[in-house]
Amino acid sequence: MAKKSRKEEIITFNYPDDVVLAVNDLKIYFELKKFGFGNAGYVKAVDGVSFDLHKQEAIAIVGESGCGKTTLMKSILGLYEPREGKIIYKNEDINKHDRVTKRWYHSQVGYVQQDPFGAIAPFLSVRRILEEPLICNGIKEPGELDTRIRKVMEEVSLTPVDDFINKYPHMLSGGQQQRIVIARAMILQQKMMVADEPVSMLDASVRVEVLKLLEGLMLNHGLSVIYITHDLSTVRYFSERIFVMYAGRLVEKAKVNDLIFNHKHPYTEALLAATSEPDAANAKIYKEIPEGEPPSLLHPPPGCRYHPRCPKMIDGLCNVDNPPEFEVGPDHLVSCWLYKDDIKD
Amino acid sequence: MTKKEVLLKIENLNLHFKIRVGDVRAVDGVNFELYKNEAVVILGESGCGKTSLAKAILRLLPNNVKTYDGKVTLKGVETMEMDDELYRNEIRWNKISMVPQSAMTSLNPVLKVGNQVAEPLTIKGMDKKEALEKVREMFKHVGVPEDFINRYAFELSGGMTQRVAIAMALITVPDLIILDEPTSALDVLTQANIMNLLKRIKKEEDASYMLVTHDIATSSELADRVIVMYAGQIIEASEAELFFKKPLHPYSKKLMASVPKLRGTDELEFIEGKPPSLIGIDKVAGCRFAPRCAYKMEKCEVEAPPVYIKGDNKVKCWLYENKDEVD
Repeated sequence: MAKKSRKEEIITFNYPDDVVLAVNDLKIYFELKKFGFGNAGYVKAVDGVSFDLHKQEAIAIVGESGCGKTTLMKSILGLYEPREGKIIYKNEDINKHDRVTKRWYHSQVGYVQQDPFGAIAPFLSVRRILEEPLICNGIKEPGELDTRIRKVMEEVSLTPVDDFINKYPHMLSGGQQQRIVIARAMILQQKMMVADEPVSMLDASVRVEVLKLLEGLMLNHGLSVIYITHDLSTVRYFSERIFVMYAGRLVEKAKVNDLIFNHKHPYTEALLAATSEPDAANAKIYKEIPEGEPPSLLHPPPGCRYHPRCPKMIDGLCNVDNPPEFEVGPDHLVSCWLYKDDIKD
Repeated sequence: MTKKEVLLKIENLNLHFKIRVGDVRAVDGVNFELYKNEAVVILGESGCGKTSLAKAILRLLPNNVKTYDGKVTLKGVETMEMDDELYRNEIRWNKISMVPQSAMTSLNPVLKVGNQVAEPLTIKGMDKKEALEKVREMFKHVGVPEDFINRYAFELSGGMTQRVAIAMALITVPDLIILDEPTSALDVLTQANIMNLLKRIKKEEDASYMLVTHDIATSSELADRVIVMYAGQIIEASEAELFFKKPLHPYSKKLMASVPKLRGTDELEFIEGKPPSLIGIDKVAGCRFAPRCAYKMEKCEVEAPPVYIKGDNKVKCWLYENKDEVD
């Protein structure tokens, strides 16, 4: 909990204890300026996203680039101010204008970037990189700094520690750099971690190593993880629930196996069909993939945002009204008119 | 199997770079053949020399080259003996063209994409109007709207830029197209669309591809034959059918086990250790994979294995000295 000295809450939230993070109808719009001051419309990057993240749970958010997944992630990190909706971490609104809460929140959340080499300062040694978050959070005693850095480096298996601690990022391989980034994201004993395509820049064999490391850390430290990716094939080994995102909205939320073997939304189907598996037979067939590209978020299509590409579009419904979430099974929600009761058959 | 027409034959190709601390043996005695209308995939981790191999074939070399020799025969013509001027006029982009790794950064930001795609034609003296007409046709062929010829690269999405780069490689009707990680920066849907396009071009126009990648799952979309590179050398060359079911070399086996599968249930594995440094790799007496290999024998560290031919497949590993299969 945050410091006690804060003023009395006006709104209180009553989420159960095991809900770490609750995102409630979040809308992030970016204003476009015309001639520097006039309004030229809004880019609706995230448009009504809601979900809960439980303790020790890993969720994955899957979608194409430009669908708003990075914006969603950055707003979860508290970098963007929502236009509407709330992000609530352990019953605290993180966008409340209160420095103490924000500071506390930032020390609770770790961030693993996509490109490790771009994420760590090239002119700092490993020791300095890992020291920084501790110093920022008031741990200054050299002995303690050293023990904590060594401990976290052993956890991400950068061993023997003495070989690595004085090295600079360019002396390390991609996998090792990514371990440094992970170590930095958990050195404050964070409870939640946001990972933005943590393995997409790595080689196939190293990729598995890093995924396994993350999985182990999750179990050992009770971390909750939000894993953002466009690659469905790595998701299965890692997370329990998958949310599929399209043009700023979550279109399908399901448990991993439900999503892979019993998916409902036409977009999920296309995503799964596009994911390759190593099989020589692939070379002989064409994949059935909808043509076209994700819509502009400045003027998104009316109704369901997938309807211009959707092969099962229902005229007069899909292109008029936005579908609400229909429950198609336990823990399985889908935003698609095809699953409305009187249309289903 | 009927004997196919050999399009490109590479014999003992070497490309070594000189840097301050020694020689980098990026391509170290590579031999392979590429048949007409075939897609060969060059697989390997980063730093194994696969991009250097592509550049060595196209003779796009940096200026710290120490050794560049071997024999490259394209349709019976020896290209290594040509001088640079002749090579540029005759081979590069006329006979062999390349789709670079990231199309976004390889297009010129201050030129309209139409003019850029037309450049290989206009530079050979074709009338500009005629060339742009050809570009329009080519754009239609690869699925880019025709009016895009007046756009700049930054006005296109990632998938469209990649299609423009493919159009640029196809415009001169080359015999061989080298694709250097053509889809690595793209989304799954766009990736699948580009792969469909490449398959269609291969089928309709008898195109031949050399696809350089580290993404095994996507490479299976196109591959007829798979060549695995490790530390500057080819260690396995197998038909795709066999490779994706049962690769021969221990390294390929590990590589296959590290691919996340969407519907499978296998436990993922990773390869311990890291690839050797290419500096001074010639001083390693034995097999270059031996330190990481699960099947290591005494012999492996003493003597480098020769290439064994098993049916249509080749493998560079001592395990196949007397046996045809290894579990």
